[in-house]
Order: sequence, then structure tokens, then C-alpha cells
Amino acid sequence: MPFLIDCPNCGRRSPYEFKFGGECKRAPDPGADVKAWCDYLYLYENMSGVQDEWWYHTMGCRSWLKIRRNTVTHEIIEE
Amino acid sequence: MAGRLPGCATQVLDRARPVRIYFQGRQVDAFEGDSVASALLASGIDTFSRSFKYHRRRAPSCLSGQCSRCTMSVDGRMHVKTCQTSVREGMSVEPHGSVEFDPKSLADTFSWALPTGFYYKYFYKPQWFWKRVKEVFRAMPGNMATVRPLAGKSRIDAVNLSPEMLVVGGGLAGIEAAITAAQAGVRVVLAEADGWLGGFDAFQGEAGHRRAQDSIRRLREHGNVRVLTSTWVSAIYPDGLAICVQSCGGEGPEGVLERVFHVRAGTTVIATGATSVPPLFENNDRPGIILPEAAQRLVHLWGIRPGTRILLAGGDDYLARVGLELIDKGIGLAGLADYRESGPDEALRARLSEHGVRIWSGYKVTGSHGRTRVEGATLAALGGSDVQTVACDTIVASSGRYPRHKLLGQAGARMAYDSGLNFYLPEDVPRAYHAAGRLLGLEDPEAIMAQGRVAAVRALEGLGIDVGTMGQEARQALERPSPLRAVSAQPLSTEAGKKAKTFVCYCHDVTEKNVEQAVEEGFSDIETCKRYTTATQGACQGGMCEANFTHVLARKRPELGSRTLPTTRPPVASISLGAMAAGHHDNPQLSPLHHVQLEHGGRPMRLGSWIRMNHFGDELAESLAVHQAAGICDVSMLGKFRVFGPDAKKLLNRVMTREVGNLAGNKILYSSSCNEEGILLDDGVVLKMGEDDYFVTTLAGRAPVTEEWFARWCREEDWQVHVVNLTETRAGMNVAGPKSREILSKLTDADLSNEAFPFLTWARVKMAGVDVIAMRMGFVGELSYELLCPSSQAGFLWKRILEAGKPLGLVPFGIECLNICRLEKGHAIPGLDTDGFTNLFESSFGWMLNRTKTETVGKPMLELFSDRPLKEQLIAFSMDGKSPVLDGCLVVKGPRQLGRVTSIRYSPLLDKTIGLALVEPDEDWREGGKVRLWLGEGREVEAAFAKPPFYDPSGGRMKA
Ligand code: FES
Ligand SMILES: [Zn+2]
Repeated sequence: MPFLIDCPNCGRRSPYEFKFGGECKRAPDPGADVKAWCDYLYLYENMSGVQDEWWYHTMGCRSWLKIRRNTVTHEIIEE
Repeated sequence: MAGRLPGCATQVLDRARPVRIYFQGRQVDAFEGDSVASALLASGIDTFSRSFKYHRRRAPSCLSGQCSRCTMSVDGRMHVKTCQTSVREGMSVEPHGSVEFDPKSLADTFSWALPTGFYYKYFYKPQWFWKRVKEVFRAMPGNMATVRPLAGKSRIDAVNLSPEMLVVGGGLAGIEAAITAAQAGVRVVLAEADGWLGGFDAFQGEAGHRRAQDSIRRLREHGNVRVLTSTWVSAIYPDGLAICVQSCGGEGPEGVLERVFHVRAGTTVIATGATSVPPLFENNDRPGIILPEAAQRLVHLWGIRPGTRILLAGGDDYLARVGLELIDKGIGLAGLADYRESGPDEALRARLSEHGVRIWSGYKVTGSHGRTRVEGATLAALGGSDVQTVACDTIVASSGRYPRHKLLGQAGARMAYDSGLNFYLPEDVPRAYHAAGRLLGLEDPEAIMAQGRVAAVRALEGLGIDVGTMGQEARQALERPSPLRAVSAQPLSTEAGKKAKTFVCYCHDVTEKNVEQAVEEGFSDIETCKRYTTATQGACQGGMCEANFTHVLARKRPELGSRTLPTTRPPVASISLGAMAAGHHDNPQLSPLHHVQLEHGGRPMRLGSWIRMNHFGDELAESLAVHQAAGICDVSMLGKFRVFGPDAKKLLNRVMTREVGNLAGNKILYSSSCNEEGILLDDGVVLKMGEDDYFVTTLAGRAPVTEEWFARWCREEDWQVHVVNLTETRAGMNVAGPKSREILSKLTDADLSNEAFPFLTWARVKMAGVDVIAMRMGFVGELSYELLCPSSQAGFLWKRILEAGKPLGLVPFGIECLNICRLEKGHAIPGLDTDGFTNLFESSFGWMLNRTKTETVGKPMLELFSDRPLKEQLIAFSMDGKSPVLDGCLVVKGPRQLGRVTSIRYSPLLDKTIGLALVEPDEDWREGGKVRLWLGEGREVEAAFAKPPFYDPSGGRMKA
């Protein structure tokens, strides 16, 4: 993968050490209707551009990281 | 061709050190420094391999690892490029198949029966026919070897390097780039495919040799350059990982065959050079037809005569210069055919004529003749109708020049065709990559060196490294005029309708006619044409054929206007599976009870990330012992977690399907968990250890996933909850069977009676002096205690329990027995009896969904499913006696497949084979229904649908 991830615990690492956790989006309320849940589960922005996403450092510190990445250029945008 | 030229400085041979290798058992004398190919060529061997489709004779044509025509088995390793392999004493070399007499070469005569894309056109009907003959066809291709395990000890190593700069190519440009970076004080890795440095100049006679040696000497002054020779950079991935494979020829006591360097450099200079394009004419694949670089390598590096009567052919002054070098070494020339009307440069022409070399200007070679090797060539005047035949034993030919651009392409650069130069130049080279040297069409050594320095300076500047005055000096040197070398393109006349073959792709025997035919059939785009004809997809990965392939395509479809190259993908050259696997170390987890179980006869097996004991000799006897007396089983691989903090309950209620809030005292809560789609993930138990302090177990081997899953559900909350993974610090053992209470009572003062310690409760007890959490569970259907203790004391406790239990019939048991017993109870295991599509209701765990709790992960979707028909379901079945059916067997009904058997075992207690199956709903899944299991080849067995448990339905035994 053409970029490296800056893990606050482990430093700059290859994305192969991580598990991709998908776009950052909040789950609907548990009581929300089925449509809201289906949208959440099955509809993705599939962004061509900058998006916030989750990565889990499986082969490292085992924490979830939120990363802002340009999905076209793979540039990681520091906040 | 046999015999060697006198020694000289340019040669890489050490004539004082003879080496013997064995070709088909016959001794071949070589010298230290020879490659296997050079040794065989020097001894007069002409045919190295037979071609893929037509079984034509093939021999080395590049001697630089690009054409793949020299591959043989070396010391049992197949498909080794012999030109890239150094000789070693006693080496045994075998061609793939019989190359001298090959009856399959009949295919050459019947080539009309193998049109372009014949496997798409023929290989599907009639079906019965292809089913029968497919094995015959599979055995047809030439140059194929059988995989055999290596006889000797050998290994492939992996090394990780992270220099600031990687330089690919050890020619003048690469060396200069490396020196420049070294002077700036950074660490450099320089990878060179040949066994020596110098690149193109290493085989340019005395002058080139001197230039190369001078550069090498200056390079050696720097300690911060790591030079890797005999190393192919086979791939560059976009994250900057370069895979460099060094061939080590079985060095050292461990016999290292290859060393794989995983190089992650800050910046990369690619100076891979350029190479001649093979010529297009009839029978252009005959042994004896070689590239000019190969002729130079033979003469200058190994002192071998390429032939005794050599015809040079092409449209480039380079060939005239090579001709003069050959004359210089006393090698006879048959002449020079130059397809340019004007012929070679005036001065070169004069010198050639001085030596009486015949020059045909405006002539093109149109075909070669000969039996096992070239014996002559046909020349035709391009402008007129004159045709001549020339006797020769070797044709040194080229039809242009081509950059070795593959790595640049992998890095993301595009190659654009420059029709003036007849050369491809890189465009849009990504930031961290820089091209240098002959790869850019440069010719003048001074310019090449200057360009290498500039590339390094740019690369260093890209890294933010101060290069001082070096930058300016390098740029000034480059400004001196040094034109790129133009090479005229070979004029192509249409060959359609001719009988003889003109090869575009040598690896897959794709001819010019095949390509034309493909275009006529509509495959005119280079990507589709390449796939349809399979040109450029062979072992050379396009290295030998891409240029001609695009050339032929461009002539056939001039309206396309431009020439694009097919996409380049890793690897550049064939790479061994061993090299790919190198560096991956398998580290299975061992239970703290691993060794003590081995002492007791445990038979280990790999299960997921753990090694567990399959059985201790006899799983059937073990299962009977569990029912009649007692057994002990290692369950240390269960995931074990402490979840605590003020918000612990919130987390557990979210991930567990059952309500945790009501858990009180020493009750055990058995629960499952689902993902957001309601798919069953896991099952385990929850114990409440104190206020806001819980202990949770999960399925064997699932601990890492559970950890991620728990963290995932708190990551967006500001909850105060800690999840501590205790899996490795706590061992687990399950003591089960009617005698288990009696046995354990011997080791503890605690009251283990059913009244004091009933089913589904837990207690802290001291057992043989060890602090233990004991849980009364019923997985195997008998009275049982699951004991968790500190890992360091587990072995001790295990031994004490075995001692105490032996007189009462206690035996250790493994997972086979565990499987038998849990199937007798009809217990399913999530992930084994269910899969990634099985929701909670379909899995027989539906009863565990708390309907009132709303926060449960997956609940909203489960609500949606709850009033819909199931898509699949888990059923149980049984058969009398032993059955040959295995896990994974299909469940069928007539022609339909309803699902599969997920677990099946023979129970000696019931004398029945019992199992679970994940199947579509069907009306047969009722009392008296039949479950049909498919054994293959039309055979089926019938089992009876059953409602579990098969054993002790009231559960009286486990609650006793
Ligand atoms: S001669 Fe060995 S690959 Fe070309
Ligand atoms: Zn980390």
C-alpha cells in the first residue's frame, strides 16, 4: 500500500500491520428504524477524495486510530 | 564455437581455478567466474530448451537474464536461468525434458491447428472430449519440469533494509549515483543483477573495462554503500517496498540459495539500462541468433567465440562497432546487413571494409536457415527485389533499443514513445523515484555519469538533505551537450501468408501472424491483444517481446496513432515461491500445558494460531472414560478478559446478546455475541468478580479478535472501562466425568457438593495449593469443572490432578474427544458449525437474544430477521454405526445442494455417527426426515434427522 500510518504509540508503520476499519461514521441509535440501520451497514460514501477512516493496529499496539486520508493520492492529512 | 579466446583483463574468469559441472551426467569443464550458460556454450552445447508450444530448439540469446531461453534444472531446482547462475564444483545441470530429440516438436508442423487463442476457441466443447484429453494437453508444453523436493539442505533468507537511497543497477550511472549519495553521508544500497559491477561498460572491451574499474574503485572508498551483486530487483511496490532477490548459490553451511532483501528506501534511483530489441525475421528463434550485447558478453567476459562466421544485422552503428571488436579478437565475419539505405557511419564502414567485411546497405535479414543451429541467412533489398543467401553460423542482430523500464513502470511512471529516437522515455516519474543512465537513451559515458550524479542530487534534495555544492557541479556537468542516441526502427514488411514463423514472443511461441490474426479478430487494444495472444506474458515478462509486440501492433493499426506499452506489474523476472515465503515466520501459540501434555502422550496438531492436542492415542477410549469415569482437557486457548471500570456493564451489554446487569453472586452467565448484521461471532461466559468488575471468556483462539471487537465498541464513547487480555496469563483445564468431583475433592478443602457448588456457578478455590477459579459447566455433557489458574502453576496442577485421578480412571483427552462429547450433546461451535453468513437465529443460539435490551450490537437487524423465514439452519442427524462421512461433506436433495456437514464424529457410547449440518430450510427437517449426504461420484448415504441432544436429554448428568 502506497502510504505509511503514523501510529501515536508505535511510530510510522506499514499499513499491512493494520486492519482497515472502514469509513468513520456513527452507528444509528439502537432504536433507529431498519432503514437507518441498513443505510449504515450497506451504504458507503466510497469517497474519491479526503475521508476519515478507522484503522486498527493489529500487529502493534492494538488500538483503533482515526486517520484522515485522501483515497486518491493516499496522502495522510495531519490535523 | 568450442574453445576459449586468450585471457584478457575484461574477463571475469579465474583460469587458475577450474570447476567441473555435469550436464546430463557428462562432465563439462569450466572456470571459476563462468555462468552455467557460458560453460555450456563454451563446451559446444547449442540447444538449451524446447519452446512452449512448438517444441522448437532454443538457446541463450541475451545472457543477461532477460530472455529466459537458457533455463534448466540446476541441482534439482527447476527453471533456473543458467546465464545468471555461477558454476560450482559438482553442480548437476539438466535440461527440462529431452532437448536433443523431442517428439513433441511435431507440434511445429501442425501449428495450423493451433491458431491464436486456440484454448478459447477449442477447449470447451464437446465437454466429454476435453474431460478425457485435458491431461494429455497439460503435458504438452515444452520447457516444463516436474517439481521435486530439493535433495540437499537449503534455505532462503530474508533481510530487511531501510537505507536512505536504493540504487538499482550497478553501471556507470548507478555507481555515480551511489557515490554522490555516499558523499552526502547517507546509507545506500546498490543492487546489480550481474555478479559484478560496471553494467554495459563491463563488456565494452578494454576502454569500457577501464572506465568501469575506475568508477568501482571510487565507489569502494565509501563505507556507507552496501553493494548487492547477483541481485535482481524484482518488484517495486507503491509504498516504497523494493523486493531484491540475491542468488547465493547455496553458500555457507546452511546452503543459502537466495537472500531476499526487503528494501524500504527513502528514495530510489533506477538505472537499469537499455537493451537491444530482438530482430523480426522468419525463424528468428534458431539457436545461434543472439543479441549484440550477448555477443559482447561472450567475448569480453568469458572469452568465448559466439561463432566462427558471424553475420551482423540491424540498423544501428552499434552493430558495426561490435563487428570491429569481433574482428579484433580474430573472429570471422560473414558480413553486415544494415537496413538503413545509407548504411553504417562512414568511418566505421571504412574500417570494416579494410578488413574485407562485406556490407549490405539497405538490406534486411528476412529469414534464417539451418537444422539444429543457424547455417545461413536470407537477405533482401528493401528497395528492390534482390535476394541473397549468406552462409553463417551465428547471427548477431538487433532491431532497435529498448529501455529496461519495468521497475520505473511499477513505481508509477509512464513510458512515452519518441518516434525520432525510436525509444521510449519515462514521463510522470513519481516523486521518490529518479531515472538515470542508458535507461534514458544516453550513450556517452561522461553524460551517463553526470546524469547519475544529477539523479542522486535530485533524490537527496527530495529527502531534504543538504547536498552543498555537489548539486551545482553535477548540473553543470550535465549541461554539456550529449545527444540521446537515435536508433532507426526496423522496417516491417507484412509476413502474412508466409509459412515460416517469425516470433514476437519467444516464451509462449507467439508469432507475428498470431498477433495480426488477433487484431483481425478485434483484439486490437494492446491490453486485450496481450491477453488473447499471451504475448509478453511468459517467463521473460515482456523483456524480450514488448518492443516488437507494440511495433507489430502499431503497424497493423496505424490509426491508433500512438504506441502505449502494456501495464507493468511485479515481478520483473520470475521469482521463486521460496523467495516469496522467506521472512514469514510461523509462530504458533503454545499452551502452558503443552509440554506436560506431550509427556503424557499428547498428539499435537495446529488449530488456528494454537497448537493443541488432538488426542492421547485413542480418542474413542478417551470419550468413554469421560462418560464412565473422568477426563482432563487443556482449554487454555479460550480467550480470557478482565473488563472493569464504571462503564464495564455498558460495554458488556453492548457486545453481549444477554443482559449482564442482572448477573449476581456466583452465577455464570452464558452468552453469545453478534456483529452489527446479527451474524453470530462468539460465545462465552461472563462472571461478576466485584462491583463493575467482570471476567469474560471467549472461544478458543478468538482472543485477539475479541480484543479488537471490544475496543471497537468503546472507541467512539468516553466510557471509563478497561479491557485486559488475560488469555496468556491464565491456563484453563476442564475436568469432566462422573468421578470428577471425587477426584478434585482430594485436592481441595472446598465443598464441591452439588448443594454448595451447583451447576452454572463459579467459586474461588485452592486446589493443590493453587488459586483457581472453578466453574461448573456442561460442554461435554457430564459433571464438569473448568479450572482457571495462573499459567506458571498450570503444569503442576495438571500433574496433581492426574495423580489424584488415576486410581479412579481419569485420563487426559484431546479435542477429538471434546468434539465427540459436544456433538453427543448437540452443541454447535460458532465459526465452526456456523459461518460468516449465519445469524443468531439460524445458528441455534437464538434463545440467547435478550428481547428487551436495545443496545445489543446486531439487535436491530435481528429484529428485522425475527419475523422472516430463515435462509439457513443448523440441524443434527445421526447414522447407525461408523460412517465414512467427513466434515465438509455436502447435504443434497436430488440435484440440489442444501448445505454441508459442519461437524461429524462417531460416538462409541451411542454406537452412532452423529453430526451437525448447516443447510437451507426443507420440509425433511422434521422427526423421521432423511438427510442425504453426498460422497462424490454419484454415491450418497442417508442419515436420520434428529433433535439433539443425543445423550442425556434432561441434562441430569451434568447438573448432578
Ligand atoms: S540467456 Fe539467460 S535469460 Fe537470456
Ligand atoms: Zn500502534
